[in-house]
Amino acid sequence: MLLYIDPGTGSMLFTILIGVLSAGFYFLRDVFVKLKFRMSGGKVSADENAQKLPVVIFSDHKRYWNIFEPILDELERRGVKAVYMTESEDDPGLSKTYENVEGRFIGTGNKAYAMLNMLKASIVLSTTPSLDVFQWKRSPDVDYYIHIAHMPNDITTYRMFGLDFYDAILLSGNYQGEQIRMLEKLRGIPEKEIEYVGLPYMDVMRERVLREKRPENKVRTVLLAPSWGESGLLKKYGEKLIDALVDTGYKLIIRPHPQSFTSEAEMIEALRKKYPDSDMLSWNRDTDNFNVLNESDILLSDFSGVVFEYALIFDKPVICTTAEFDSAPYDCAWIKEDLWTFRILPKLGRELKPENITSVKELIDECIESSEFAKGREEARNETWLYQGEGAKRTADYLMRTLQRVSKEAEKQTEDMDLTVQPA
Amino acid sequence: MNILTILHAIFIKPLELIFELIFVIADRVVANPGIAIIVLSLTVNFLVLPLYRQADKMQEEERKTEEKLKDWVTHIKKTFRGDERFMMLQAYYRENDYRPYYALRGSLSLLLEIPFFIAAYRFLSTLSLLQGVSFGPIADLGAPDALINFGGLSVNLLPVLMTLINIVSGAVYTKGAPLKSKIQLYGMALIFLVFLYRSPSGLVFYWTLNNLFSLAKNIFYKLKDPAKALKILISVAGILLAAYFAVKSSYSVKSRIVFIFAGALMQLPLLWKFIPFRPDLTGKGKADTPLFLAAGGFLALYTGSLLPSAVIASSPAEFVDILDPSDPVSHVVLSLCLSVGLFVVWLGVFYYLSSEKGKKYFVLLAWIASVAAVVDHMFFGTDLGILSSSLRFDMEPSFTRKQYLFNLGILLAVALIAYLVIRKKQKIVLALLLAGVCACLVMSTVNAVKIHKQFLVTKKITEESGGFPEIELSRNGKNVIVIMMDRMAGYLLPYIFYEKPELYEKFDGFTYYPNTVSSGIRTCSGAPGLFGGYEYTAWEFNRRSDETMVDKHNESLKVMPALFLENGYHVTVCDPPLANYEVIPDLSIYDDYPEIRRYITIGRVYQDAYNSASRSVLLNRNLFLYGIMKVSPLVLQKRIYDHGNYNSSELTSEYAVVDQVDDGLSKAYGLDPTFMGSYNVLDHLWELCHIEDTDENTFMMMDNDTAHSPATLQEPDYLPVDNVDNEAFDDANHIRYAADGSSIDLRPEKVYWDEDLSWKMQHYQVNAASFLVFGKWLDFLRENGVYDNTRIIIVSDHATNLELWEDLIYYDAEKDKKDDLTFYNSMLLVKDFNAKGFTTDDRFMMNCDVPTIAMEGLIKDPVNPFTGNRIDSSAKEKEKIPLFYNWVWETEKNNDGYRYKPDLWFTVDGDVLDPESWECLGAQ
Repeated sequence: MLLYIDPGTGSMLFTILIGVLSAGFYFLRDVFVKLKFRMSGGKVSADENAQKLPVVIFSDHKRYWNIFEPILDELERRGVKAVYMTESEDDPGLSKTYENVEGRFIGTGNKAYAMLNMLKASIVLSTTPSLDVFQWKRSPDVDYYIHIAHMPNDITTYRMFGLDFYDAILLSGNYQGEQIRMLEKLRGIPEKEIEYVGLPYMDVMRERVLREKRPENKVRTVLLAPSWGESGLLKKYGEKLIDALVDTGYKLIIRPHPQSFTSEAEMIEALRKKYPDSDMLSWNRDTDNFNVLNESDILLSDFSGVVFEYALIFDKPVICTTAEFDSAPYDCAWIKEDLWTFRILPKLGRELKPENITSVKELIDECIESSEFAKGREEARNETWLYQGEGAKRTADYLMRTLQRVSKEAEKQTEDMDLTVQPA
Repeated sequence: MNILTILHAIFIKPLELIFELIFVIADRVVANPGIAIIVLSLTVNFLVLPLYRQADKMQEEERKTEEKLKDWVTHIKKTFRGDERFMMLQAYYRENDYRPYYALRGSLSLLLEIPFFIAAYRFLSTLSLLQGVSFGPIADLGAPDALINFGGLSVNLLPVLMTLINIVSGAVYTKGAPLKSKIQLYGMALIFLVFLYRSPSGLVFYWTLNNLFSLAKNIFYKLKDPAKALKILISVAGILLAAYFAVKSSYSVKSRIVFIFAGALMQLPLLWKFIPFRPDLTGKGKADTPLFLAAGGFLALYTGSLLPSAVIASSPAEFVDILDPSDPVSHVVLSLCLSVGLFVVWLGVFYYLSSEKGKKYFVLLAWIASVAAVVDHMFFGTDLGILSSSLRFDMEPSFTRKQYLFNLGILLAVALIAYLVIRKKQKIVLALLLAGVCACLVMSTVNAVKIHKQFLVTKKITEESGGFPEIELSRNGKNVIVIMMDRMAGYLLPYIFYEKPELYEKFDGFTYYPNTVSSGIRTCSGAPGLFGGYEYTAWEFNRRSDETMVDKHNESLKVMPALFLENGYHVTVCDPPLANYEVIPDLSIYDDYPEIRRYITIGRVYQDAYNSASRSVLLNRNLFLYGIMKVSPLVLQKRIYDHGNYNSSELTSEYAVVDQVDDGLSKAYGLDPTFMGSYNVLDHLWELCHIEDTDENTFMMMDNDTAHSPATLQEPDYLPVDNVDNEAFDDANHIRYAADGSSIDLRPEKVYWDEDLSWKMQHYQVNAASFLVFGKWLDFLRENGVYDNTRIIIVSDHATNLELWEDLIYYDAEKDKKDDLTFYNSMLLVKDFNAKGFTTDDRFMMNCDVPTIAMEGLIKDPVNPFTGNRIDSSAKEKEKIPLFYNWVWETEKNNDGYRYKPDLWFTVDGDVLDPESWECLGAQ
C-alpha cells in the first residue's frame, strides 16, 4: 500500500511535476507579492487584482455547451463579465458572439490542466467531476469551485470522490442534496454548500417543446434509440426486436447511437440492408435529436440519460432495459439505498426483457395508455426537477451572489495579510 | 567527507556522544566499567522511555486508523487500476487526514531502535575502556564471554540469555496482538542473537540490560496503574540510594551529598501531587513548533558552527595537517552536523513525541537556553588563555567561587527576563531567534571564508617548503648553529642538570647564562631580538612605528642569514618562527637570497605514526563540545573541558597516536601530536646533518617547539611512550633539587592556578626531554669530529610562566591577572669553538645578544644590512631596556599593523630571579 506507484505512469509523473512546479511557482509568487507589498508600503497595485477573473466557466467537452449556454446567456443579459473555457476547439460557445462573455480554447488534457491548476479566479463553474482527484487540481488562486450537474437524476453516479473537493453543488432535487450530505457524513468531510437551482438546459428544451407544435401522428410512432456496445439493444436483440416492432404495425424510427456508425458499421449496414427505409420504418441520423424525440410517442432504449429527458421534457412513456449496473467505482457504492433512478424507472414505463420482446405491442400500448405512468412522470418531475423554467435565472442569481460574497472575503483576507506584513 | 559521513554525523554521532558522556561520567564515579554499563543502560532507557511510550501510542493510533480505512482501501484497490487507483487512494487518504508515510508510524519504535542500536554498537564494541576488564563471571568485557566450555568448544552465554529475555519480553508485549507483530518481535530477537553472538560481552551485556528493562517495562504496562507503580519504584530506589551513600563513608563528602540529594529528588514524582503550589509555567495555547525549531537551530549553529569556526579562523594554519593538507572548513561542517543532529534532529524527535505540555516546556527551555548561551559566551570565561589546535588551553581554566556565584546570579536573572519576554511578547522571540540564526550563518560563513583563504595560503607555503631537510656541516671549516627553543625556561636548567648529571658531560664546552631575559614574553615580541639583535626588541618595534610589524619581523629573521651569506657561509634556515606572520612559516621571505637553503621541519620529519584521520574525528567531536563548554554556566565549564579531554572515552587504541589524554598528573595515554612534531626533529637531528669534508663555513638557524608543547613523558628518561605511568616516580620525586640546594615542587599542595598541576610537571618534562635529545645530537657531532669547530647557541625567545616563586609574580590589578616575571627568563646556552667544560656565567644577558655572539670573531664589525647600524650588545649597557609583557600572542590582534597595542612593560636591573630587580612601567 505504501508508496504505490504504477510502473506505466508517465502522466502520473507529469502530474507530480505540474504539482511541484505550480507549488514552487505559487510559493515564489507569494514571496514576490509579499516583497512587493513591503516595497510599496503595503499597497496592492490595481493590476494585481485586475488579473483575477471574476467568473470562469469550464467545460471539458463541447457536448456540455447545452448545459452552459442558457447560463451564459443569462449572465450576458445581466452584463456580468465571464470567461468560458473549453477543451474543444470547435465548441459552439467559441463562435457565439457575446459582449460580456469571452470564449477561450485552453487546449486539451494536461495542457488544459496546467492552465487550470494555476488559474486566478473568484469563482469557477463546471460540470466536470473529480476535481482535485485526477489531474485537474484546485488552483490556490481560485476562491470558489461550483459544480453544476449535467443530468437530471442521481448525483452519486460520478467516479468515487467526484464532488468531494468542490465548494458548492448546484442541484435540481432534494434527494440529491440528501445524497451529498450522506456521502459527506460517511466520509467525515466538511459540508459543501448546496443550492437548488433546477435544470437550465432542460428548461430550454422544455420551452422548445412548448413552442414547436408536435405533429399529429396517425399511427403510433415508436422511437428505437439504442446505445452502442455489447449491451446495446441492437447488438443484444437485433433482428428479433426489429421484427417484433415491425409486427406491431406501428411506425418505427431507428436512431442508432452516432458511435455505432463507426464502431459497429458492419452490423448497422446489414440491418439497414435488411430493413430499408419505408413509410413505416426510417433510419434517423439528425444532429439535433429534437424533432425525432418530439415526433415519436414512445421511446425504446437501453438505460441512459435520454430516457429522463424524454420522459420529463416530452412527457412521454419509455420502455427500457435495466443494464446490470456495477456501482463499485462510483460514489453510490458508499450508499446502501438504491439509486433514485432505479426507484423511479418502473414508474416511467415497462422494462424490456428477452421474454417480453414478442409481446412488445402490448407493452407499448400499456405504457402509452396507462395513466399510472403519466402519474409516475409527474412524480419524477416533482422530485428531480425543482424550479422548472427558472434554472438559468436561479443559477445566475446564485453565481452573482456568491461572487460578491467570495470577493468580499478575499479582500478581507488580503487586508489581514496587509496588516501582518506591515512593519511594526 | 562524503554523504555517509554527514548522515552519520547528523543521526548517529549525537547518540554516540550522549552514550559516551554518560558512560565516562558514570565510570568516573563508580570506577567500574561493568557498573558504568548498567548506569548507561538505565539512563538511556529512562531517557527514551517517554519517547517509546509516545511511539507506542502512535503505533496504536496508526493501527486503529488502518483498521478504519481498511474496508474502503480494499474496495478501491479491487475496483480501480493503475493511475486511477493511486489517485483514488490519495483522495481517500486526504479526506481522512492520512498520509501514506504514516504507515511508518506503525514501526516507529522499531525505527527508533535502529539508530540507538547503531550508536550503542559503534560505541561499545570499540570502547577501549572495556578491554581486558573483568566483571563478575565475565573475564573480559572487550571480548565474547565464552562462559560455557564443552571440551574445547566454547559457547557465549550472554547472547543466549539476552535472546531468552527478549523472547519472554516479546511474549508479554504481544499478548493478544496479531501474529504479524509476534513474528516481527521474535524475528528481531533472532536477528539480534545472530548479530551480537560474537560481539564483545560489554556490548551484549548492555543489550541484555536493555531487554531486561524492556521486559520490566512490558510487565509494568500490564499493571493497573503503571505510572503510580513507577513512582513508588523510583521513590524506593531513591531511598536506597540515599541510605547507601549515607552509610558508605568511602566516597568523598561531595559525592555523598550529591547522591543523597539525588535520592531526595527521586521522591518528587510520588510527592508531586501533594505539593500545594504547582505552577504551570507554559501558559495557554499550543506549542509553537517554529519557535522550537528556531531555538534548536540557533543553539546548533552557535555551538556547532559559530564557535568552532571562530576557533579555527583564529589560526587556521594550525588546523592544517602539513603532510596532507586538507581544508579545515570540513571540521566546521562536521561539528555543525553533530550539533544539528543533537539540537534539531534528536531534540526534535523528543519534541515531536512529547505531549502538548511537554512541547511547551521544550520551547520554553530551548529559548531560555539560547539566551543563556549567548550571555555565557559573551560575558563569562572570556579570557581563558591560548587554545591549542587540540583545543586545550595553555593553562587549566580556573574560576573563583565568586565568579561562579556571579555567573549563576546573572543566569537566573537572564532566565527570568527571557521567561517574561516569551510569556508577554512571543512574537519578538521568534524574530530574535531567527535574527540570531541569520547572524550565526553570516558570521560562520565569514569565518569559513577566512579559514578557506588561509588554508590556500598555508597549502601553498607547505607545498613550496619542499624537500627533506638537509643541514650542511663542514668538517674543516667553521659551523655556527643557532637553535631557538621556543618557551624553554632558563631557570629550569639547574634542576634538570642536577637530576641528570650526565648532561654536564654531554654539554661539554657550553656556558649557561642564567641571568638572561627576552624582550617580550611571546614569540612575536621575544624572537625578533634573538635573531636580529637589539634593534628588534619589542620596544624598538614600537619606536620604528612607520614600518609595518610584519616587515620588521621578517627583517629580523634575515639579519643573520644575510650577513653570514655575505661573508661566504653556506646558510640553512629551518622554521623561521612566524615568518611573514604565518603560523607555518612562509619561507618566501628569503626569496631575495636564493642561495639560502630553507626548510620546514616541524611536523615533517618522521611523522609516520601520526594518524591525521583519527585526529580529525576527535577534533570534530571536541570542537562541538568546546562550543558547548563556552555557552555553559561557569560551574559546568571545567567539567566539560575535562583538562582538555572533553570527557572522551578514548584513552588508548585508535586515538593513541593522535593525541595524548591525561589521566591525573602522573598518567597519560597516547602521544601528543604537537609535541611529537617537534620532538621528532630534535630526536633525528643527527640524521638531518650532512657532514662535508670541506673547508667551507656554514651557518644554520632553526626554531623548534619541543619545549613549547607540554606533554606527559615517561620518567625518568623523559621519553614519549603510549602509556605513561609516573605515579611511583612522582610520589618520590615531585620535588626537584638544584646543585645549590634550592628546590621546586612540581606537584605542590598549593597552586596559584586552580588544579593546574600538569602545567608545571609537563613543562619540566619537555624541557628535560629537549636537553636529553640534544645530548644525543652533541654526541653525534663529537663522534664525527665536528664538535670543536662548531659554535652552538641554544636560546629561547622567552621562558614559560610556571609560577614557581610567588614573590616573582606581579599582580596586575587592572586586569586581575598574575604576571609571572620568570616568563622573561629565557634560556641561553653557548658553546664556542674548542671550548671545554661546563660553566655558568652570571652576567646580565639578553637573548638579543645572540647575533653578536654568533658572529663574534667571524664577521668583523658586523653591520645590519637593512638599517646600516652596527650590531653589538652595547644597548643593554646604555639603558634599562623595557620588556614587554604582552598576554595577547596573536599577531593579528596584538598590534595595529605598526605598533603593539598597549600592555604592561617592565625593566630589570640585576638578578632576574630577584624580585627587587624588577620595576613595572605600567601599560603603554
